[in-house]
Amino acid sequence: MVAEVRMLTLEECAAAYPQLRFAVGDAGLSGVVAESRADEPHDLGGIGKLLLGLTLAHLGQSHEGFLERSLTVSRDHRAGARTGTLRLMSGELQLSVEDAVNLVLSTGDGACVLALLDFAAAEGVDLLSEAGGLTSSLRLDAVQLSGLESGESWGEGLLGSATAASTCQLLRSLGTLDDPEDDPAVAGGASSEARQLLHGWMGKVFEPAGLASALPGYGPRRVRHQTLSGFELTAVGAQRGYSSALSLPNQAGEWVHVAAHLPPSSAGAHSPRDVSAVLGGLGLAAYLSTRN
Amino acid sequence: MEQSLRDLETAVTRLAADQPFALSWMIRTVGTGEVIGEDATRAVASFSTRKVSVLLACLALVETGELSLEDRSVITEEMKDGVQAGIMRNLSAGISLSLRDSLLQMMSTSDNICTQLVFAAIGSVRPDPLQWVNDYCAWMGLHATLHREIFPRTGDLTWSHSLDTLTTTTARDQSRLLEKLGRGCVDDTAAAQLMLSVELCAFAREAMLGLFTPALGVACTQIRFAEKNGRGLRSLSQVGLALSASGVPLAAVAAYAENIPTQLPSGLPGRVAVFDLFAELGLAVQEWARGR
Repeated sequence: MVAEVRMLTLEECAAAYPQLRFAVGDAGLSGVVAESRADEPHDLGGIGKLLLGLTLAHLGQSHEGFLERSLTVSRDHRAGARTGTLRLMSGELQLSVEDAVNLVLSTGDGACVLALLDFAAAEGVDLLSEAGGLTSSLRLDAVQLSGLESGESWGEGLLGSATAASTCQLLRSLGTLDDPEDDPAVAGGASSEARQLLHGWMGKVFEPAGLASALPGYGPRRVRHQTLSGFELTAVGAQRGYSSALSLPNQAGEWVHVAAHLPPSSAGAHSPRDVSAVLGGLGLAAYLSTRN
Repeated sequence: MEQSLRDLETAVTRLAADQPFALSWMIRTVGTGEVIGEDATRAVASFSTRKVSVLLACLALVETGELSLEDRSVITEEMKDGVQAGIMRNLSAGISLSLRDSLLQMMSTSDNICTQLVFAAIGSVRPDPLQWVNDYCAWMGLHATLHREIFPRTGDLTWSHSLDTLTTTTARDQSRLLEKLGRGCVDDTAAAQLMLSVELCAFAREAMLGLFTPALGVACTQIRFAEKNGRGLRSLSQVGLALSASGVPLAAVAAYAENIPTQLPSGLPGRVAVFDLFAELGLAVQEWARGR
């Protein structure tokens, strides 16, 4: 039997999926509006790409022309990729840095991650240090970065741990596409331009699984949202778990943010469809909470 | 008919019963001529399941030597117009792809920029590429399949759209083509009937194993599906070639869900129930394969 998405409230999600860690926050002063085990550390498990994207977007603002530079996705990069679709292709592929980051966030492309890591190293950029500096300035104390993927990639780039609460805090700090003003105090050093880039990438996720998988809509049409998921981590999900992030506007147009992590080998979650049933149910519950 | 196939027919009929949408389906065991199905001659919009026949029709020109998988072409800005599917629409124009890579992306992410590149390649050696694909389908016995466009502009369609301008097919036609492909992967004569070599049939099978969003095989652990999805406004479809763990072709499966409500009475999106059904269908085929 395949697990089915269930219609639950946020509170019911916590009871129905006791292993699930999640935090739901809004942009207002109230902060977190629902949570379950939100302060328990977990493997990044799919949201390393969020921190990698933010770091590269930040570098793009501080190093003029950085995102427009060309990189090569090589045979070695494709051979080391465990996720994404470029690994299916042949020969070398020339992409801009921005296009490579786009593919990392939209499809979790491991070949692009390895190409980006090599490109940054060749440019003398210490990505781990840069990412650590950003998480410090954003006061994400629960985010612990331990290294970079090397040799093989599951589309993450950065390795380490986080909590659902810290990921939700990050999403809140990044604001939304609708933010008219740059508030450096909130954004913790991430410029408005860098945040806009990240929002653009998160709005183009290809066939999102995870929290966005059961949002209302049909065909190519879905309710407005931005997301990331660890669906691409299926191959290692049994060891690392599945993280997902979602932002969507409520009826007043204010954005609500959701971060979740389903730990490895969670009871009843045996296939990607089962994982999406749990995370999709939570995402749908979050959406329905914005309609009330 | 084998008892195990009768059991599979009963299982799929039960799955299809009482769904809030219409399901037409057919399963053909590879090489035995045995067929089960229901409503399999209903004309349906093919959406991207048509790309199996586009792939094979293009490969037939590779087999004649008129096209090479290493031929290259460049993505232009104009190709992005109206494209809803795939990953290339979000990248910069100017990316150069081989025909091999265009075919792989057309199948993996259903990329409709790559579909345009494939039709352009066919058009470089045939005066009317769409007619070449239609002729190929007729030669292969797909007498209810009509390709009417290079790619459908789904963004312009309403839920209640007409089929008049869209590519149409049937579950019977698509399962027929996949059964031929299954035999062509292991037999020279069968491959020649597809105007291909065994190696090019294997290329097609591998391209279909790389689908980014598998549905029939998403929960299977003992068999795999080389598959292709189709997504319309009110329809979802999945066609696939079931393979044993060692890669032996077992069965061709085609399933078309039509008139899917945007929302179920429970409030869940209608598409969620269809993806559950496709996953259950894959598991039913796996159970049949185990019992052979």
